[in-house]
Amino acid sequence: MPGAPAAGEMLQQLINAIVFGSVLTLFALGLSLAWGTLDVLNLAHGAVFIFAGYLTYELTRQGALSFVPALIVSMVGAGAATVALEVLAFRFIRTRFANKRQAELSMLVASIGGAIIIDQVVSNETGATTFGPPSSIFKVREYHLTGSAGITNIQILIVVVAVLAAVGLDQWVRRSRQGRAVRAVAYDPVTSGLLGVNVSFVAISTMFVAGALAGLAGVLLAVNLRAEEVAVGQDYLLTAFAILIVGGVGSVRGAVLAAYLIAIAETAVVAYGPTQWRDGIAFLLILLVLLVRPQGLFAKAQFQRA
Amino acid sequence: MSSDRAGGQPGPGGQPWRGGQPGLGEQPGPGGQGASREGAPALKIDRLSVRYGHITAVASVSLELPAGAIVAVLGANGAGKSSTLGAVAGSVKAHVSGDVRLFGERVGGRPSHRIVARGMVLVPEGRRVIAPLSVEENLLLGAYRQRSHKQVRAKLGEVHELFPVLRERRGSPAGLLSGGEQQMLAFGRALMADPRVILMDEPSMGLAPAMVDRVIDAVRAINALGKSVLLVEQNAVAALRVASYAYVLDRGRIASSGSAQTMRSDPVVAEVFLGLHESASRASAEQGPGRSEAARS
Repeated sequence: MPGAPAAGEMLQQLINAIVFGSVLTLFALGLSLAWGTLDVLNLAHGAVFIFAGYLTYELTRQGALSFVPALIVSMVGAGAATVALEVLAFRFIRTRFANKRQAELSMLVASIGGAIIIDQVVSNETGATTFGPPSSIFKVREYHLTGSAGITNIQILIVVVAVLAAVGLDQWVRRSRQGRAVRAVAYDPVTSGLLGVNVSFVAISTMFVAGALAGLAGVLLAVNLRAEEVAVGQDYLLTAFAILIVGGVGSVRGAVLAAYLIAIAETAVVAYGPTQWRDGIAFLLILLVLLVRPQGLFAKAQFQRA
Repeated sequence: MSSDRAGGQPGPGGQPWRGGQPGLGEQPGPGGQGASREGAPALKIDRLSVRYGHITAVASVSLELPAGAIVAVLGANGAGKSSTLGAVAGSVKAHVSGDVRLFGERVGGRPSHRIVARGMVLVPEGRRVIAPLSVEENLLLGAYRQRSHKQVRAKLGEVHELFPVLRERRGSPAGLLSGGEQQMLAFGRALMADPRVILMDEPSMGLAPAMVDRVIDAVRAINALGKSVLLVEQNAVAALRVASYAYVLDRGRIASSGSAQTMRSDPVVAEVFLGLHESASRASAEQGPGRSEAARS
């Protein structure tokens, strides 16, 4: 069958892009949640993501825990690290500054501090080299498709988890009682308090969910690649910014769509185009979106009277 | 939240009036329902002070809201009305001292969400609807503390009954409602929490005269549901139409108080706050509130 190898190659690239897009989705969801609801531009999100991979590595390398318990503990650890930033820094900044812009900038700087601390802890413990959980914790199986293309069970798991997390988060924010409170706190924390919402609890639980999502992405990536390093977190953070701008801040659907869009574009450039342009793709997309539709592809509808 | 509790004893202060009867005046409410302590007023504020840094916004204000009544707090801009309500509801960032009791239970110094849980809700100045959320979501948010889905639905039905416009526009973002509709939404949202006491901060502000009448009717209807209402207003004419008793707040102090009837005929109130005489009100505005203090009956 002529052309089959090429088709197989293309399918493999598509699978790679979808898996990459799924990790990006998980990563971007947490970043978008914190930014879109609490106005926290958490630059420690990438560090937390790597931190979770590191936790899984620590917990599994001597065979102490198997995959699922290690995943859960690492997600809780990532959530707790993010909550620590909220409790130790963001919360005080939010109450001290009357000006929202100033508060946002201060939180951004505080989160850089948090990122440096977390990165340093991970670097110290791993000797600043690549690290990853042993292959024994997850029996990787490859399923052959047409031609040379194949997909592994961990890749399938990543895609399924990303879709479930995106749908779950979207429903949680849009339909649940707690999700309503999150959106209300995002818009007006004082009035939310007057309606009976415990604002600091909502902020802490939102940051926990954001951190746990970063942790989920970090663990799955660590298990998939079996080699991670601190610098990877920064790469994901930059790409996730592009995702939020392209998709529209605070929009779960926009983030998902943009994550896959950027993943496919980057994969295509690496596979067929000038490889060195790979990191430029995300920023080219930012530029295009800012020119054509500055509010993002999935911006919120108008809700204020003119 | 920084709040230092000075005093604290509910002892008799410089209280011009301590009427025990619920529903005094022309608007007798059902009164006294759900009272945690028999005979205790719905709300009793004792020597409340609010300081922002070195600026004292409210100085030793004491007032009382009998169960089932509507009591008005009148005053010009900057008289300390909003600070008083904010301190009572737990939403101001300031130093608050004094004693606040809800049906005899001390609630002062608690964060706002705890006070809502005790049965008192503030309808904030400027309505403060959550603009991007739909009308229905705003109402559901009002019932945030109620976890029973059935109870929430029942309350939603009651509120729709009272304000049909909120049913008609339930899917619309709250920010797209008119000012009057937003005020109805703010009322409905407060009712969703099923409070015993509702604090209202300037509900008529920025509304057309016809809308002001609708708001006053709504206040009366809310009171008829058995809610005790503390109504803060700059629009004294409107407030005195529904209130049974009124306090006049001036530069952070109670300048005068009395039944709505006496307050309506009080020349100082008439001049200064009702603005019946253009020139008089302008003159007194220049002289400041000393006049009302001096001319107080």
